[in-house]
Amino acid sequence: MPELEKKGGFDFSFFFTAVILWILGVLLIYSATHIHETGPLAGVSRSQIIWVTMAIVIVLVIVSIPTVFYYTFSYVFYGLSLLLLVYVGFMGTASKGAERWIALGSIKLQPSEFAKIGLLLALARYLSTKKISLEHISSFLVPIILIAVPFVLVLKQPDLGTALVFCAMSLPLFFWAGLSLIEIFFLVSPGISLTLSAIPLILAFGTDQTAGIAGSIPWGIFFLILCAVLYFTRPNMIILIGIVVLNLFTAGVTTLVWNSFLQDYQKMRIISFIDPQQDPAGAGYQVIQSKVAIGSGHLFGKGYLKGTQTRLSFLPEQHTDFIFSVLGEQFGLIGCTGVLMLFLFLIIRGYLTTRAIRNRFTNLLIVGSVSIIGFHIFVNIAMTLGMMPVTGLPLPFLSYGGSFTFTLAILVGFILNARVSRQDF
Amino acid sequence: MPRGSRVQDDQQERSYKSLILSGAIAVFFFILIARLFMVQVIQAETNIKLSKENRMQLRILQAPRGQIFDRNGNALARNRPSYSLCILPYQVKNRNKLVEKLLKITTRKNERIFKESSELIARLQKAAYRRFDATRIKEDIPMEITSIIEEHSMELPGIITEIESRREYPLGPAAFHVLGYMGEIPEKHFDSLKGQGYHYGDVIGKAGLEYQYEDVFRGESGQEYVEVNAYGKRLGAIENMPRKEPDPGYDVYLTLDADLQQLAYDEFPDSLRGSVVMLNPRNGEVLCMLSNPSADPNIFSMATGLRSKQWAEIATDPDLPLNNRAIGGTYTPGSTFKLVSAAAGLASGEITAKSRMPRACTGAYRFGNRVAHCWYSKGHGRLRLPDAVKLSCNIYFYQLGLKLGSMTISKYAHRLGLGEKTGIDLPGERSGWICNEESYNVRHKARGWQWTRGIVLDVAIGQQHIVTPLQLACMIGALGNGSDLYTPFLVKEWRTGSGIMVKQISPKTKSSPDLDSATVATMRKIMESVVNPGGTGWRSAVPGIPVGGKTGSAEWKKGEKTHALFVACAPVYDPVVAIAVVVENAGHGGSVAAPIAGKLLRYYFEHKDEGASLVKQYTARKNNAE
Repeated sequence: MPELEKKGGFDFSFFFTAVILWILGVLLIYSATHIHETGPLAGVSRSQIIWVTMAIVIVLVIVSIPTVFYYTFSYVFYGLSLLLLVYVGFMGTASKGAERWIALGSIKLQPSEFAKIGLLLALARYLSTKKISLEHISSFLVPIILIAVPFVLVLKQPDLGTALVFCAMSLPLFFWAGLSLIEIFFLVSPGISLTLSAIPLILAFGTDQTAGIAGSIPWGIFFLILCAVLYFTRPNMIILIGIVVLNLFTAGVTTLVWNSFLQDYQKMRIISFIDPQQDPAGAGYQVIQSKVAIGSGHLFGKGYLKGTQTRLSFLPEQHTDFIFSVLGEQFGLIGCTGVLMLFLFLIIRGYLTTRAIRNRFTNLLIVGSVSIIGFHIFVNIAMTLGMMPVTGLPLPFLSYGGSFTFTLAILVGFILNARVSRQDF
Repeated sequence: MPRGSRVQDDQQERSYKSLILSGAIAVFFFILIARLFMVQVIQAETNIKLSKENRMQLRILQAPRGQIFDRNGNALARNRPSYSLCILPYQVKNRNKLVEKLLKITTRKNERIFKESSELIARLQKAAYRRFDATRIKEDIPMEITSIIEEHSMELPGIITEIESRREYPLGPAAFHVLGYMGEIPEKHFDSLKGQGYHYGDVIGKAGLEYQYEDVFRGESGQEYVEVNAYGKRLGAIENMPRKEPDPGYDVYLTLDADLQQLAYDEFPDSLRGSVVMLNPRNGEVLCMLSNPSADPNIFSMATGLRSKQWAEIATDPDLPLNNRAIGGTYTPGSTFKLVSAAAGLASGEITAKSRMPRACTGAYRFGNRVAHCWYSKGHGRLRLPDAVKLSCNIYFYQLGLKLGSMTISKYAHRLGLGEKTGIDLPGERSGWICNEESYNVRHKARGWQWTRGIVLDVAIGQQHIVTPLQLACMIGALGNGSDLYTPFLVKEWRTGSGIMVKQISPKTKSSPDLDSATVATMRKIMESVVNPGGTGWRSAVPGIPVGGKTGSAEWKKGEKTHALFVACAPVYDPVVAIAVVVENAGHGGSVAAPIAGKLLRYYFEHKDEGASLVKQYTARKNNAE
């Protein structure tokens, strides 16, 4: 991309799109909370203005530092973010039942947010010098350890959403670092096995029938496809056996654990996580209300500040995780699609930045940053539309919240930081 | 030059990979847009309808709480419907106008339901913090008021009535400590209970069986979505929305006998503190358990205003009516413990029924430089064991104690269930404490007290130890029974509302007193002689049934009346009931505690089927023998 060099490397269209989305977020948060003159929600939009202003400063600071700085100190950042995670595990103040925060005066920091950055830097640094491939299992050793440590720490909090972010961001990085699409497919196949073998068990729960042979058909088909792919691609013997065994194992263990170890109440918890509508008073309540709000927006929406569902705040999290329902109700399908297009523009433009950059570390940093943003967008919107479990992942740019806005600013900064002139270090 | 520059991506590969990644994201975005189209266009009509004026409200369907019945099916706890007035603050347009209207509402007798405007305004202001929750502003209102409210719902925006059920206890204070009571979840505990499906303002078992079996009684609340009009009035469930029916709680059947429980309450002197426990030593079923003073559990189900006033009285009463003395009251067993010392002597083979102690009772006993007294200052002379128990001679037991040592005595005390929790299914049981050389040194370590051999004198006559009335009942039951000590229990089974059995509790043996048959036989004879004419426990005799027992008058404070204690089992040769009565600060066991036990035992053997049939058997046997 020659224009990158021409304009001094700073991608103004990316930057301004981000700023527009941030301003839109403030407006939506104001719409969601302005009826609260007193109480905890009063003045939330004002503090978001502060967060966003600080975020823009952070972007500019991150952009102005040469890439080599991040390269040099990547492991240091990773180590620091782990320390924060460990610290919050011991000392964090209880917030909503889970230990996730560090209180710095009146500001609450969420170390799991910064762990996303830390892991991104560490993986980018490691993968920039090593090629990984399923043919050499040992090449995975370090990346897996890098992921596993924060993964376990975050899962313990428990923050499943962030743990999933760690996994989701790793796949595009692995892809960039040399894994083929087929290998990625092999890598995620145990996850698919787990999901497919759990579905019939979940469907059978609560009815009188036990999950019979028919319930195993979806998994069976998947397993046959997997075997066919293995047959045609002929990976080496260890990989082949490993993948087959791992898939059989996850499917078997899922069934065994479900039938023999889980109590009914634990099963209910899993079910209401996967299908919130089964639990209309808990997680399902938000999802149902959110769907109603978005749906009632119809094509053009009810108009700014005119939403009835969201304004009357039946959604406790509507200014944070469910902000998309505010957008959906007030601006309708047109507004939602418009915002999705802005998101898509950012993501594709972010990915395509790599075409101009030769440096592998820079590219990995961009790919990882864009992927984290993209994953959040998809999971969050799918959640507000009732397609996915409520994981507590906020919507980039639009959701209220200091920690996440700062994380996002850093990621945007990484993407904008890429310069042809800086790539040789 | 740092290493980073050496690693470069190939131009073609970069294009290919960034396109693949962009494509993948585009696919995901396409899925989102398709879903948006479905929700916002295809299902738009339904969603618009549901969102209109926010007509959807989630309603919790309370599960009816399980009832409590006694062993004969008499209700001990049941539910009654109650109406309350709630406010939905976000629907209130003009608070002052609403207050004005609410103050005008009166019953047929012209009583206003809200007395003062300031109180009402304060309540409304408090409710305003939870704008979208229905907050109760008046509890337990008469039925007629609910119909007035319904009729005038247009003029009272934001005011709704709710029906709920309240707990009712027919026996009132008689069974307070066993059944426990209900109360609202305190705010500070709410967070930890929220995960278990409790909602704000729910009531929960606070003590006794209501607390212990909360999960059994509670059931599971259901939910439904109801359509609400602009005034907060519910129009009915919304179709096609998930709905969960409530699961009623289970009905619990107790081992308790309501008649005996009531009788114990009636017979126990109102002004005195103490406890009565009656149980079946063959299986551990508790037949009655009384603790006095008591309180009426019904006041906890009253409207808040009345409740808090009465609650304040109960909570600040120096006699601690909330404390269940049957399991939480700790008493010195006094002379009732002599049965344990006697059994220990016989079972360990140190004495026989015929053996005498070296020194005669002269009213006092010198040990080292300490002089210990017998309650009978003229002296009993040299007694054999049966008379020593019957006359409760301290001097005999001092010498027996020295002979056996504290460890032997405490071993048998523990075998008979004293000094440890019985494991009854009630919260708040205390273990008590049995004194011996080791436990004394541990307990008094902080004070620097050391065991001396003289303390064994106290150990043998039952001073020093601390036991609960329930333990005493278990002890006497096990002595009469001779073979097994059962864990006492109150809940026999629970069933669904339609009577289908869910769980049955089977009796569990706790320990075995491990006494040889000769010891058991001797002990039975001795216990019988206490109740026979001439014994201290004669006031507990039952016509036609041999009763065995032991009185006790435990000193607890110099210059105060003793605690009166009495333990008994009947029929002593194969007991079906064991009883323990403790009356604090009341005098002698024989004159105060034994008569209460006598009334209960006689009632049992006259009016209860199990008792009456035994009386027949015993009379028939006696007639045959003659």
